[in-house]
This record gives sequence, structure tokens and C-alpha cells, in this order.
Amino acid sequence: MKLRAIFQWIGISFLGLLVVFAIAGPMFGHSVTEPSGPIFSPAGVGGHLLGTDDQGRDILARLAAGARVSLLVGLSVQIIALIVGVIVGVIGVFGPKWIAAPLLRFTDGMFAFPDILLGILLIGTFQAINKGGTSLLADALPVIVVLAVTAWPSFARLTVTTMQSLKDREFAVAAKASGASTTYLVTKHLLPQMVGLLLAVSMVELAGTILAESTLSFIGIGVQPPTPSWGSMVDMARRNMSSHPSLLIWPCLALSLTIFSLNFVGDGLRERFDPRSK
Amino acid sequence: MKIAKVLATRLLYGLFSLIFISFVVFMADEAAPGDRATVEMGEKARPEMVQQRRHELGLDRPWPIRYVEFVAGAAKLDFGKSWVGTKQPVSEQIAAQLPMTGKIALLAILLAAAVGITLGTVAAIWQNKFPDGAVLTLSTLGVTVPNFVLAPVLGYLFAVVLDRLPLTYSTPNTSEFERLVLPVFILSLRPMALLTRLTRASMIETLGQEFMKTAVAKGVPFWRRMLVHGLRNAITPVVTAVGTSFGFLLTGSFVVETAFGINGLGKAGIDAILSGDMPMVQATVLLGGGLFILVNLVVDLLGPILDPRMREAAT
Repeated sequence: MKLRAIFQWIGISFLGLLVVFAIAGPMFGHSVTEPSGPIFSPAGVGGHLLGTDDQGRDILARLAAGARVSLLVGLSVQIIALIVGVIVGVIGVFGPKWIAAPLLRFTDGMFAFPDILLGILLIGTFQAINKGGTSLLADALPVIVVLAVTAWPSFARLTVTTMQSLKDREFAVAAKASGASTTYLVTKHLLPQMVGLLLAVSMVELAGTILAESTLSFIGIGVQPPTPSWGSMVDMARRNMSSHPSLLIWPCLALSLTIFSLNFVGDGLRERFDPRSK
Repeated sequence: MKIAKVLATRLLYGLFSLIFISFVVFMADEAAPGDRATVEMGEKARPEMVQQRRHELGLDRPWPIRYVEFVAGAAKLDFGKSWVGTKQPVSEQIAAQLPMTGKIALLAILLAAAVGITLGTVAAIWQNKFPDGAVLTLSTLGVTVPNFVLAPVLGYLFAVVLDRLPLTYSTPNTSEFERLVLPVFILSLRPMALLTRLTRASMIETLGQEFMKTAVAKGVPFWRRMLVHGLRNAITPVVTAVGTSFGFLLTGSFVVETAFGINGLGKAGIDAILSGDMPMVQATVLLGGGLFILVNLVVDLLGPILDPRMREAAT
């Protein structure tokens, strides 16, 4: 398992660099959405370290902006999904039966429905409402909502299965016996036990979310232009592939490395926190 | 006669899911601003005229009535006509596109199952040895590199650099095989990785059981032991996963279809969203959901057929 440890450290370093890159993006001095040079200028010419795209926009700046979009969408979706999923899971375990049973049934139903179809439907609805926003958040909002709607059930299920095994353990029974209310039991005893596991799982899920965001953007129904996304950058590169193949390299590399790193780091965390995976 | 009861429950559950999906699909249209009347009349139309058209189309009636109409139409596979473009009946457009999606999904799942089960078995037999490590690394790569990255990269490699395969499906003077190699291969990677891991895990569990030792003691030859005793017992969860993956491929081929310009259900759905063609969006989602439920139903029924132990438990 030595190879995996090496991969995990590579993953952690890459993710660290990615965050720095995303934050430092605006310091590169080139506009993200406006042309700042001739189109398809090669790497290193005219102060464009990675060259320019089909509209003369700086690729490095757009890559950094794409990283911001991916991280913003990914983290927002995970936070929303985590909160909703944990609340649903806790209600499913400790709530009154008349609400818990249908809720769990509904959660199961969400698993039976392909995420992407639901996403397409919701985006189709949103598309009509949103006509190209002004801020990054406004552009990314439909995507965040859609992905959060499809992401919460797995957290709900995880919470239910973990809580059910935790609540009969001795420390929980002892807390209950010494008069702890259900709220106290959940917030002070059970949830703290789960934090590590939830974190690890959301790391792996984050990879899925970033992948889903860029997939939607690739097919043109995700984050809307001119706001860049790695997915739409791959699409742009694909269209100009025969004449300028080098455009493909950076967005593809950024995406693959990010997903690779998140998977490895998440798996590593999970092994630490989930006793069952050992 | 418990099997009939299980079957009835599953059918009922599938029906409920379908009704739920149809409701969500209908409500999505309700929630979106604009309807057939506004699209038909254009943006410059006076509100009274749009209102008049809406009345003619019956869109001003309460939504429960229209929902029942929608379901009644959908049950007969009638989703109305497209709002934009050729304004053909949606069902005709779908009938033209569904076979293509079905074809690439079927080819991809066959490839994925053949390779995945073989690699998984090999990895399990030589567990923790070199083949196992190689297979696991490959299958990890299979899930980490996104389809839409692979499509242009492999397309560039095989079509532009090597000039061996066509870049898009509509390239003239190419055989069907050449046109489908890349899309089917890319589509098959994800289920292939999943099936490899699953076969490996299931196989390792089976190989560790008592009856395998008995087989050794009886002097059963190695490969017969691995394939007839081992794989035959380990295959049931894998077959289930083949079915579910097929369901996902049927509904998830739009990246590959878009990247290679294949006119299938996925591409039609995306085009419909981009052009705001709501009936087409509704039909694609409802049909995709229906197919997904159907495939899962078949998979549920396959379990007891393949595994005598499950038959025993059900009767």
C-alpha cells in the first residue's frame, strides 16, 4: 500500500496548489472574460503564459477562474447536501414514525432516479429563468441548486446507517440513561463521532460534483459563458482541436488531476475514519 | 406463490416511481416561465393575444386537469409536438433517436461486462499479486478520467494524429464499426471499472468459502474450480450491476453523443434544452426514467433466476 500513500501525498499537494492558484488568479493581470490579445496566440507570447483562446482571452487567467468556479460550485453543493442530508438522516432515525418512514422512502426513491435526468430537467426549467447573470454566484446558482438536489440523498443514507449503529452503543445508551435529551444526544454525542466520516465521504463526493459541473458546462447547460468553467474550456478546445490541439492540454489536465486527487485523498481519509472500510 | 407477490410489489413500486417522475416533469414545465402560447406568439406579441392563444390551447384551465391530460397522453406515448424547429410530433423524433442510443449503450455494456468480468476474475485469482495491482490501478484510472476529456483526447490521437478513425459519427466513407469504436469504448470505461471491482470483490469472497476447499480436496482441476465453482457463485451481484449500469448508460450517453455528434436520445435532450423545447425535454426525461425503472425491474427478476438460493428465499 506504499504506492497509495505516495498518491495521497501527491493529491494533497495538488489540491493545496489548486486552492492557491484559484485565489491568486486575479493577480495574473489578464481579463477573464474580455480579449486581451490576438486569438490563438501561442504559449509565452505577449505576456500570455499559456497563450490565448479562440476569442483572444488569456488561458491561464481563465484556468484560474475555472478553478474558482469548480471549487465554489463543489464546496457550496457539498455544504448544502451535507446539511440537508444530515438533517433528513437524523429525522429518519429519531423522528416520529409518520414523518420518518415516508422521508426514508423518498430518499430511497431519489437513488432510483438517475441524477443526470433530474439535473437536465431542472436546468431546462432554470434556463428559461436565468438569462446570463452578472456575478459568478448568479451564473453558477442553477448548477449549484441542481447538483445539491441530486447530492443530498447519499449523505442522508450514510447518516441513517451510521446513526443506527451508533445509537445502540454503550456510550449512547449511557447518555440516554443519565437523562440526555435526543437533541443533546445527537448534537453532543453522535454527530461529533461522525464528523470525520462525513468529511471523508464529502471529499470523494466533491470529486463527483466537480465532474458533474464540468460535464454540464461541457454540453452547454452548466455555468453559462462568458464565465469560464473547465468543462466549457474543454468544449472550446475540442472545437478547435484540428488546428490548435495544445488548447486541450490544460483544462483536461486540471480536471483529471483534481478528480484524481480528491478521490485518493478522500479514500485515504475514509480509511482513517470508517472502521468498516478496513 | 410468494414470487408473484414480490413481482406485484416491484411492479407497483415501479408504477409509483413513474407517476412521481411524470409529476416532477409536468411541474417543471409549470414552473418555467413561458408556455406554448408565449413561444408560438413570439416575444413581441401583445399580452391579450397571448392570453387568447392560451385559451384556445386550453392552457388557462387548472393544472390538475392538464396533468391528467398529460399523463393520459404520455401513456399513449403522445407528448405533443415540438415548440421549435420542425415542430414534428415528439414521439416521432424519439422513435428515430432511441435505437441509436440503445445500440451504443448495448454495445458498451457488452464490452464492459466481457472485459470487466475477465479482469475482475484474474485480479481475484492472483489477489495481491502483480495482475491484481495492475487491474486495480487501471480501474481507478477508468473512473477518474472524465468521459468528456477522453472523447477529445482519444479523438485527437486516433483521428487527427494517427488518422485511423473518424472524428465524428457523420464522417463519410467510414464503416459503422470505425464510427462506433471510440464512442462505445469511452462509454464502456466507467461500467467496466465498476464491474471489474465488483467481480473481484465477489470472487474473493467466494474463493474464501468452505466449498472451495472441498473442491480442492476432491481434486477438481484449477480452472474448473475457478470458473464453475467460483465464478458461477460469484456472478449474481455482478449481473445485477450489469443491469443497473445498462440503465445508467441508456440515460447517460449524452456526453459521448454530443462529443461525437451521434443523433441519439441524449443529444436530443440537450438540444431540446438549449432551444427551449419543453415537450421534447419532458419526453426525454420521462422516457429515460421509464427505461431506467424497467431495466431495474428486469434486473430484480433476474436475481432469483440466476441464483437458486434467492429462489429458495422467495418461495
